[in-house]
Amino acid sequence: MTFELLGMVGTRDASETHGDHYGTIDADYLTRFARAHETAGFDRVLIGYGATGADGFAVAAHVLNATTRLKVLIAHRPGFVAPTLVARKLATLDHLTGGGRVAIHHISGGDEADQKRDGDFADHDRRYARTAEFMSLLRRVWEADRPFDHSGEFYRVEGAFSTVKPATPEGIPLYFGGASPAAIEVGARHADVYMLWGEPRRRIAERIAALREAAAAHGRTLRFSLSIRPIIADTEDAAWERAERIRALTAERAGASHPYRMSTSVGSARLQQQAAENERHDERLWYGITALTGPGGNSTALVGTAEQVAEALDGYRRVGVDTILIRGFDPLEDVVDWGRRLVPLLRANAAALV
Amino acid sequence: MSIEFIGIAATRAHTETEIEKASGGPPVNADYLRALARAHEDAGFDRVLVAHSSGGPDGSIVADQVLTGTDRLGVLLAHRPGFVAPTLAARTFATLDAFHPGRVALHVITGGDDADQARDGDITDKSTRYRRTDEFLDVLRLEWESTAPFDYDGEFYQVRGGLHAGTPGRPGPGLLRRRLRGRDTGRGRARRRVRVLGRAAGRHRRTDRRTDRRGTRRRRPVRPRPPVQRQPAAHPGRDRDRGVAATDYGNLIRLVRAQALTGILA
Repeated sequence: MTFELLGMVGTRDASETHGDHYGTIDADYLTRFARAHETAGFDRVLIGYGATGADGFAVAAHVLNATTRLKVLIAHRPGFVAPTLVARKLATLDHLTGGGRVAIHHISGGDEADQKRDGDFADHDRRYARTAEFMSLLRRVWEADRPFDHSGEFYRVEGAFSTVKPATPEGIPLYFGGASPAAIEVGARHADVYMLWGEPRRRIAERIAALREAAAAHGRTLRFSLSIRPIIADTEDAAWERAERIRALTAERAGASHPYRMSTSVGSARLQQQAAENERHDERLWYGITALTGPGGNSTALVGTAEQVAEALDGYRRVGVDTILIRGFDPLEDVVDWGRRLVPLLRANAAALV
Repeated sequence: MSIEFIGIAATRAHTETEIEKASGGPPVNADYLRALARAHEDAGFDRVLVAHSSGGPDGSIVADQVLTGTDRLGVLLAHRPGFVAPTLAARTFATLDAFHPGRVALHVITGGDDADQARDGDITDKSTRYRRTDEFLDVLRLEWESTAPFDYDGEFYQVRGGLHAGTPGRPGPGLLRRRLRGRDTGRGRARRRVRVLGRAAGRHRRTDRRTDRRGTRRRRPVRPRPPVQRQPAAHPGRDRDRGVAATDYGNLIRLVRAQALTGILA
């Protein structure tokens, strides 16, 4: 399989160091941000989900309209939209934007307060069970050539049928994330691509091995994606100095911009545990921001020169990672910078690895 | 109030008289949709209706393409409550409105075809659906307008700490609320239902203080009524080849507008 490079876009200039600018929808910024990814050579961008922010499907449409070949990965949380309707939303978007540029990421929800904002009161394991039923229904809507009935634990439909199917034979890939036993079972059975947050290489290798085994039990194979936060400078010393500046700026803002989270995320707990063991793992995997901001999402960083970070990312590729998702602390500026000095190295290394 | 012309968007050539022509084509034809939207804009239409069905393309995605492919044409986006959490639906409409300011209006359809409802998983009866629509609109407005996190406790929807961070306090896109009909559903008089706000902190409990049988209001509304758009004066464009028809209607629209201006038809 070919190497895929993912970025991430949002509707505002926001990060741990830039502040949250809560709720702003800046269409011009989003356009610039999306085009910067395309110019820098990214294949796809993730669009996040939050229960107070912009709707990901509308954001995705804007990104696809503003670019010509960039693909999107729309994060969503099963439980808030009927699966048959999500299937049609994705297929419609797929057709109206040239075909083959749309994928969907399933987040079952680790932050209970945010789930309740949209009206979901299910607990952790029930959420994963619902995600499983949701993903199987998505595929069924896309594959069914005649109306079907379904009666499950969470969803019941009668005569479901969509005239609109994915635009290309490759279909619409289903991405998935989660580190709990419940998550592993669901991902093994239903995911095309399993997303992992940045952990030490050895632990990523262990997780991939376990997931491959779980998937094999269902006769399936998975692709794996790693999400991580590069911090790059001209020299290694300068990169670590930059990391310290990012830490100081984040500390200034952490109180205001990171509200208390009712986290039930096992993936977040793993990162917190690793941060407590050591601030630095492997050669350059840094947990400074992870420790500071507490349970959350993709927060571990690779610190060094472009060559060193590219080498570290290749290390993950050698233990089975197919896809890399990178997101900066200076979101737009980093994308432009990476396009000049990191992406070409990743592409060259990927060609050599294949 | 000025007159408004509304046409209709479609993702392929498919009408009562053109089924044969459509049968071989894809269900979603991006070029056709854009051409149809532009034809409406060029003919002087104000909006196009984007319909909803449980078997076809999704309206919010189609609406975005119509808006992106034109400069000033608005959309009237049909939405059936019951398939999307109202908080998320509110953010979807608000996000579209942010990308295409002032060009999105919402047409709330409660759903008249039980079989089509069941395709998307709604097995309720009609009177239940109307109660749900009422709650859906309550939550929609709270998500758009609340400046502080709100709670909501209804028969169908519960929310804790709901908050749309985008332009809080601002009304959402224009709302065309479908007339609630049907004496047997009890919804005729329920239109005037008043929701009483709970705690000032923003807790909303559904307490039906409805108008009684003699039409006497028991409680005064504490929230402003939604801005209700006028029904469209005409619904052209639903004709043979819609692209051609939309263009043909240009003369009609200019004539009616001129008449309206001179007070013959106001």
